[in-house]
Parts: sequence; structure tokens; C-alpha cells
Amino acid sequence: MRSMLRLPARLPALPRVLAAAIAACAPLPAAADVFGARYAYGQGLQLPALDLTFAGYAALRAQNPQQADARLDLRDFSVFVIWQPAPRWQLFSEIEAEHLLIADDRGVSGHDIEVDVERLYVDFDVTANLTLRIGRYLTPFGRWNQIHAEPLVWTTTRPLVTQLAIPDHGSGVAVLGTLQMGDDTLDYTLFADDGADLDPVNGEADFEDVVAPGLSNDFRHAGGGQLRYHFLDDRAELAASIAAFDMTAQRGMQVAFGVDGLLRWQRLELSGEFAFRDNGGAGDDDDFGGFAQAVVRLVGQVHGIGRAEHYHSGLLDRDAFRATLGLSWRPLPPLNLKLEYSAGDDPLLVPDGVQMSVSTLF
Amino acid sequence: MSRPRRLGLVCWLLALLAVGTCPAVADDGIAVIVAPEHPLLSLDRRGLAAIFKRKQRVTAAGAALVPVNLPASAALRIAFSRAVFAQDPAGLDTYWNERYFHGIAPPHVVNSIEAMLRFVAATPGAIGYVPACRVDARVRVLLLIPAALDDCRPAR
Repeated sequence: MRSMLRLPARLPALPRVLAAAIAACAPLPAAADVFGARYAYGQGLQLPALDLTFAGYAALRAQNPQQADARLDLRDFSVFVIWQPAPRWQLFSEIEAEHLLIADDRGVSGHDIEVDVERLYVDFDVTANLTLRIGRYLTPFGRWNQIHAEPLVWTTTRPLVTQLAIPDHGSGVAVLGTLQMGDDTLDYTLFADDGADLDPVNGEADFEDVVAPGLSNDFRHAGGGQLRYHFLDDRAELAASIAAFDMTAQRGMQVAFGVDGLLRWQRLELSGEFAFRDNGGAGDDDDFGGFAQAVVRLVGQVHGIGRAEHYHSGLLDRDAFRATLGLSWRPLPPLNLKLEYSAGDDPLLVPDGVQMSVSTLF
Repeated sequence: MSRPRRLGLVCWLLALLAVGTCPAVADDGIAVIVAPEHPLLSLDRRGLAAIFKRKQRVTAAGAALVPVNLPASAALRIAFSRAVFAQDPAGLDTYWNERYFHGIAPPHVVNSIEAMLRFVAATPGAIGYVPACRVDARVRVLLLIPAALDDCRPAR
């Protein structure tokens, strides 16, 4: 059978070997020629005859926190299935298996596997500038939450404000699109959530990367939106987000506001997110926090990262600071190798320690 | 008017007439092309960027828009990317990774100018680009982007 694997043409030796190894691990089905299958590393397996694409990402993480045992964790294995039966319609699903394999000083185990439907929605392009989305989607609040996959972000640790300020998923309906504003563009999203009725496992969602007992990570009902302005030839963006909601474990209406921004200039990338949440009847004290991050390209595709963050949780009655220094090497666009050290002042929310990860889109 | 000046004027007029018999498309720059029956009738650079970033995927009437690229290393692709996005193709890697996470694939890639012409002519909704001097009757020019191309050889 003719090989359908495609690799970038000009690569240094080691990245090319890595890419070849990864590509070789993705055998094509015997019927590849029938369906016109095409596989490209980092762009998934396309079956044009069936209007289907299989894609995804995987992440292996090594952690050595000061207050816990070191461990190696095959933390994420996510598969996307994308079906586009007609130009205006697209079905997107992401099924994620977490903690497929954990190795620590007690040995190797696969007992903590969690399988989640991360996203499942149908998009319908009503017009060229308006898409209707129905299903389970990532909450359009802030930037990090919407690109939180390990190969896409600069650090293994995830800032608290991107996890605790608002639940990371919604179930319901959203409208989104892009408007041209002279040379700039404005992305907009409005969403309405009815997780209490639409999400069969409402109330069971845990947090991506933080231990926060007693806190809910599920909306019961919510509504909100985001405006994101892209300018300077898309090298800069500013966004504002708002959401009003009540949560499964904390009843009573709450309101959250957020702003985030990003600037890429030559070797430098600056970004930050800040949020405030009025806990309303759920607590006397409010939540607020944010982070500021700088990334500089050091040599080749090796980047240095520095980040400072703070989060005050009124519901937990805790206040946490954390500083993170790290390195990220992206030998190929879909592949990300990271090493970092974090120092925090709250062992529960922001434990100190070293983390490493290897992650890839496939 | 002296005789040499008159001769010069006649030469200029002949040259202008000769240009007038050429196709309407200037032979330098990048021609953004579609099939003759393509629903789009006009496009500006911002609209082109939205289509090639796949932020706009259908026309107002709901017809598919299918952008097509040359390989990232092709000189014409680099010139197109700089003219439309003010970045080299590699500068968009992060953007495409993030779009991929949302199920949006980058434009289809063909390997040569001739393949681009064939694909655009044969694929409903396709929109591509070639050196203006390579435009032929199979396609219609939607937009001409000024760009300094080295020559008119097919960029591979």
C-alpha cells in the first residue's frame, strides 16, 4: 500500500527521527486507499470520502512535588472525531482518557483511569459570521481554558485563575463568530448553559490540575459571553468575559468578570488573565486573582517561561501565590517538551515542585 | 516637435496598444484565483485572510469555501503569507495548533502551481493563488496582490 504519511520536508535530525517514530506509531487501516485517507503528523487522519477526521493529543507528565511522591503519569490521551457531512455542519467530539498509566514508588498501575466526554457539540454556520453551537463545550471565559491542552500551553502547571474562577465546561447553546473591524477582527461568543438538565454527570466534574475539596466545577445554569479583539496583524489580543451562573455545589447566583491579553513581539510573548467572581449567596467573601506570564525564545525553538500568579478563594478561605520558571522545547510544531519549577505558599492549592512533560498533537 | 521625439511618441503609443491586447491581469504579483463559476465575485485582503485562516468557512449563501495552499517552503506561499498575514507560514504554527484543538484543519496543500490550477478549477468552492503570469482560462482572478516575485517559474 502506498504510504500516506507526510512529514515536514526540512527538519533537523533529532526532530525528524521523533516525528518519524510518532508517525510510524499510527498505522493506517487496510481500507486507507478506499477512503482516500491522509495522515499528517499534528493534523490527524483525514478520511475525505467519509467526511471524517480523527485527531487528538497525548501528554506524559513527570512530577516531583515536595509534599508528595514523585510519579510518572500518562495523564491525557484525547481523541477528537470530527464529522463534516455538509459545508455548514460539523460534529465535534473529544473523548479523553486520563491517568492511563501511573508509575510511582509503589509500582505501575492503571487503576485511576478516568474517561470523560470533554466536548461534544454540533456547529451550524448560520451565516458567514455566525455559528450556532449546541452541546458540551469549553466555557468561553479567559484564553487558557479554551486552549488548555498540554501541547498548546507553555507550562505543565495551570494557573489557578483559569481553573477556579469558573467551571471549565458548559452544556447548552452558544453563538459565536468573527467580525471584521478595519484591519482588526473581533471574535464574539455568547453562551447559555443548562447543565443541570443536559449534563448526565452534572456535579461530578473535578478540576484539571488542582485539589480543591468542596468546590464545584459544574454549572447548574449559566449565561455569559466573551469579546476578543485581535490587532497588530493578529500579534496582539485583548478580551473581556462575563458570566452569571449558579453552581451544583454552591447554590445562589454568582457573577464573574474577566479580562485577558496577549502580545507577541519578535522573540517575546507577554500574556495575562485576571478574574473577579462575586460569590453572591454562596459565600461572604469573593474570589479574585490572575497571572502575568512572559515567554522568550532563547535559541531555536527553546523558550524560557516566567510566570507569577495570585488567587484568593473566598469559598475556600485561602490565598495563594505561586511563581513558576520553566523551559519549553518545540522541536516540531505539534510536539512540546517542558521542564519547570514552581514555588508556592499554599501546599494544597499551589504545591512546590518540579514537573516535566512530553506532549504531542497527533 | 522634433523627428526623434515624434518617433519616441509613436513607439510609446505602439507599446500601449501592445499592452492593451494582453490579458486584463498584470503579469506580476500574486493572483488569487477561483473557478469561473465560484460564488464569490470580489474579495479584499481582509476577507482573504479570514478565509485562509478558516475563520470564514462558508459564503453568505452557505456555500463552502475551500482555501488551498502551496507547501510552507514554497517561495510563493511565503510571499502570499507575508502579503496577507504579515508573517511567514511558520509564524502561524501556533495559530493552527490552537485551531486544530477546535477541530479546524489548515487549508489543503497542493504541491505545484499546476496542481493548484487544476484543484481550484475542479473543486467547488476552492480558492487558491498562483503567480499572475500563470493565470489561464481554467480560473478567474478574484484579487491581485502586489508582490515582488523573483520570476515566473512555477514555485515548488
